[in-house]
Amino acid sequence: MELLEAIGNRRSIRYFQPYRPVERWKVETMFQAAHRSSRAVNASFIKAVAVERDSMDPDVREALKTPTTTTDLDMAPLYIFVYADPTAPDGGPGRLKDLYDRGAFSPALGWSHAYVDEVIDATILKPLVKDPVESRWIASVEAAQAIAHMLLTAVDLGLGTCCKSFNIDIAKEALKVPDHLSPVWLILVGYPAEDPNAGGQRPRPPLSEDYYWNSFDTPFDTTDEVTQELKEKRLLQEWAPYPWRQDEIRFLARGFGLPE
Amino acid sequence: MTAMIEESYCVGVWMKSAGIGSGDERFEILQQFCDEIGMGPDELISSCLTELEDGSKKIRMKRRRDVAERIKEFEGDGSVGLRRGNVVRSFLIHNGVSVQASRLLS
Repeated sequence: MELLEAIGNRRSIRYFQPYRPVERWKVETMFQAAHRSSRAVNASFIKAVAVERDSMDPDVREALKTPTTTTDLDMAPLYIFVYADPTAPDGGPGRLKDLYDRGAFSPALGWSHAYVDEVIDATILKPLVKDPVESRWIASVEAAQAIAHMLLTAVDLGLGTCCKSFNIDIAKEALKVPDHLSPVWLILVGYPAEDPNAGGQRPRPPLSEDYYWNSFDTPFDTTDEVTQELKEKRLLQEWAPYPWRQDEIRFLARGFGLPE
Repeated sequence: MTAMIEESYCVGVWMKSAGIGSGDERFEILQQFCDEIGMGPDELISSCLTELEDGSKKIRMKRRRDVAERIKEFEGDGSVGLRRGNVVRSFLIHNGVSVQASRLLS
């Protein structure tokens, strides 16, 4: 699948085939994709644990639920709990110098081993690790980049996903989460029980509301040519709801024995 | 009997939100549940929600658990019972009281 089509196909899937496990090799593939996301100081800001639903005590699973994470938790055969590690910049100087040696940084851009040790470490990395707000912010941002890789890889593998909240205290105890990790999202993973288009692409405001050119004074306008091309490449798709979506939801509810 | 239940405010909310027409068989099921627990539909909803100072509403968790248990007792076993329980759950859900079905994967 082409990348733009995968981005266009990605939806939050909320109905899963509960009987069909996710193959371990697919989880490995998602993790490898996450492992290759952009990450500051080449640090591992993300920590994630994949849990098979059926390996979990049903009472624990029930206790994980929140107002927005409900029966879909029971349907998904696999969970990926994602955490951010604000201590990840530790060891940053070593990794930066390694990146320098591999040609990622260069003197052309002002870099050297001495610059890493005497300037970057002292004035950026050490203060960053000490500041709980800043360190948690960057850890969350970088973990989210890895999440995005996982979600798109799942689409390419024929899987559905949904990012959900979860009871962090219950998860901490059940999964033996280290104290310093900060919860990010629970990703439900499985084979969609609903049509993978899930009723259509979710609406977005006009691009110009969120994106700008040269400064925030100039909203970024779309063009007909690019819009048409992106439709052909399936980045842009028909918006929800498809005409039959409510019938599908009703069918799913009845099939699963759920309220309508 | 079901003509009266349709006059309830919360049943009206349910009808509008779920697209249920007048005289639907689901009203009788809801009436049966209300008779079992000894409260009308509006009272059932208000018993599950606390109104806050700013006018928003918060679910009373213990009460919701109690109602969820009563629904399980009401529905009994079997697919027919499950459908009856889901009627009551639907009424609650469309009035902002999120309750889950009890038997997915059981």
